Amino acid sequence: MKRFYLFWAALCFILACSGLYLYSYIPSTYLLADQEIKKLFEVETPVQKVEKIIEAAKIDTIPTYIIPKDTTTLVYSAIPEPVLPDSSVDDSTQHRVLLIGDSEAGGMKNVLNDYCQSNGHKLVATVEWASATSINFAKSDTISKIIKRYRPSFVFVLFGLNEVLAKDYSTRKTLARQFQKRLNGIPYAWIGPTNWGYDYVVSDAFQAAADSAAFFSSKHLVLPKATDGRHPSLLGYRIWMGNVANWLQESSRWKIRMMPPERFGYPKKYKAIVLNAADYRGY
Amino acid sequence: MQQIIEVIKQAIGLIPYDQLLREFMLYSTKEPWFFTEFSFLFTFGIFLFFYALLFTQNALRKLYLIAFSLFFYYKSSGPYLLLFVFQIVVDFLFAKKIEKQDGSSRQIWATIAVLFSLSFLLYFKYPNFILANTNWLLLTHFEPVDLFLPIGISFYTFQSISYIVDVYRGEIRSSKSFLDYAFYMTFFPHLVAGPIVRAKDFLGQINSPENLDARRYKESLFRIVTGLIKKLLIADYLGKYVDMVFDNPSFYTGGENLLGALAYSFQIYFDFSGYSDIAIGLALLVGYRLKENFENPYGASNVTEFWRKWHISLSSWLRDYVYIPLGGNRKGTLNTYLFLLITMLVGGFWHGASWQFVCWGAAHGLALALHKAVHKHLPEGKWMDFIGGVCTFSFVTFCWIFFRASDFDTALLMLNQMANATSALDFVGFWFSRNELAILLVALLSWTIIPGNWKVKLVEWTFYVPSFFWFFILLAALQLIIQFRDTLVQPFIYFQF
Repeated sequence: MKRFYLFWAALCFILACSGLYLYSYIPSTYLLADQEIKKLFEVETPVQKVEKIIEAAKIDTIPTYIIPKDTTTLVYSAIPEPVLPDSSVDDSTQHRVLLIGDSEAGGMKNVLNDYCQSNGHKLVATVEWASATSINFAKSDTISKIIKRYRPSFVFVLFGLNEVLAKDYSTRKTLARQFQKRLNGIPYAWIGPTNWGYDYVVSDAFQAAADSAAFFSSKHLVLPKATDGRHPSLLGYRIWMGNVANWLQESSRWKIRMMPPERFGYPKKYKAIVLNAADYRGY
Repeated sequence: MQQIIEVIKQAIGLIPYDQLLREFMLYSTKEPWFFTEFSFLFTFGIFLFFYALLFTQNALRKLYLIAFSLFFYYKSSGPYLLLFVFQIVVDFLFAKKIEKQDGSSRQIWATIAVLFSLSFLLYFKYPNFILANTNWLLLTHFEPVDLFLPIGISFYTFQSISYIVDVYRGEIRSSKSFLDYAFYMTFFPHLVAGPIVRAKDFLGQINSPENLDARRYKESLFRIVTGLIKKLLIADYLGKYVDMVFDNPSFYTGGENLLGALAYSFQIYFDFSGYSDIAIGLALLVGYRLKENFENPYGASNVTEFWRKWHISLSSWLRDYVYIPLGGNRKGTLNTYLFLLITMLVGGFWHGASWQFVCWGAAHGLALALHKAVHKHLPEGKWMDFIGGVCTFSFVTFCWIFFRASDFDTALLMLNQMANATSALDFVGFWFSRNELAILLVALLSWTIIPGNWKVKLVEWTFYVPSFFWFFILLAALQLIIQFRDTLVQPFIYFQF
């Protein structure tokens, strides 16, 4: 009886910690009052399964021939009218911006640079990881190192085009969540891939993984295409960014000032990091 | 129910025991084993269970606790554990020798012993500072050396010095048992980041640990839970904003820089007092009481009172082993001021090998001297205490800028931004753009104003919670931390010292 509280204290620590450890190994996630009960850590997908996903991702990569040719009636042909910043947007905040994404980020970087410079932000670096999917972004520590190196105060995320045909919702969500953890709490705007009519689960999976209202779904946008038939044209990127900017000022989780630039073609002062998943998968 | 059991069975089947055990046995100097690690808390639970079994077997219990403490140190410092053990053995022998000596030989042996302890600290902590200043002074080109700073060396060196000096002064007898001395030096709750425990306060407790009754059990869990929340939820959350501002002060307005400095004031307090709370709570569980390290320091009405309430174990150490031996207030007014300045310079230098820490120490030393000179002429009363409190807090926050900034230029840039680029709109903008942080800062400022004895009463109420229920409080606190903490936990600020 004399040592009862010692034993009881020991059991408190053992039971509490082992309960939380065990919960991390349970494949499903539970909710409490509509809030996800987070786990101590995410269990990495076993290697065999990752290989399967890589195979699937190769098939997922969108083939040009299936992109619908006749989207002219749907195409958004002009940059939207700007909305005034929400009252919670602090005009004085000058962010260090980092853009991370696949080849669409490569197309977006110059437009984003114009928006950033015009609004007092600084685009410090862009990561254009061509052909990459959420597997690369989730598994590789390259992004963590880049974030550590450039210390951004705001991150733009833009990938998913290479996996719009994927149908494995839970895997994409898990991968997206693993990537989101790499952002390490830094405010971000996660832009979904453009939709050429074949986005089954990717945007929804990413949206579920991102913090509420930090995800901009591009599913409703049909943008002018570039000659490769796969990416938006320059005008397409400007229209896209115009929509993203309005969302950032109006209803994003982390609102920042993003009024349209006074002109396009600001000097490029950012560090452009270009990778290709074909020769660098990153993990 | 059957379904729940199935899910648990499935989860248990997925646990990679071999991998976990292998990782657990490895040390990492880059990722020390903090009290905030869940693996530590789990291991501590297992340790405590067997500790309870051995509780009545004094020698075995001590050996067991020393072994756990050494393992705890090994996880953070690896092979430097041997150096630590070597220092413990030599200090123990030195103290024995000193006790047997008289007169000048006693003094010589004590000096050798203190220099021996200090030599490790000087070797590991200050070589680059010495080399950089030698290069600057003599235009030499010595390359900086790449040395790992053994974790906790500043803390345990001061502990061993206090032991040697106390034995030399005859204030305590040297420890008869090596086991007791090793227990005192290695005791894991205070090993890596204090509080700096004095031998005279601790050696007497070693063989008679207090039994864990209901009140101590609740108190210890309360301290551990509040410490974890202070560190992982408050300090780390503030740290994100602090890092952003201190990394690039020119990117932010004067108001944002000002609030960055304010946020750091609270970050360092909640970080270190959180650590101390956990250390005190863990020590209570195994039957020992460590002295308080913080007593509502930001509620102090002057800088002298601040140093009686902030990092108490260090400030009292500096008082007893630097200020008083120098002469204290016994050698005239001017000398008293000089001794205060020297003492705080030592304190600043103890924190790190950089002129910024020296400057920080000098600023506090001058403030202490100034307060000593004028305090008798100041009017008294509650309003004076309040005004004094605001001035003290502002001064302390100002000094933290030099303490935290990566170099003098950054600190001066921040001050420049505050002086020249601050407007009322900055604070309005801050409120709207960083609403959660702004609310937290207002709440922390309000918490500072609440008198210390009110807080003590508030804590007392928690002891009415039944013992059984504390398990759920611990579990809820841990889940709350998982829910809201940063993905990457920042190291305790005082680990680097």
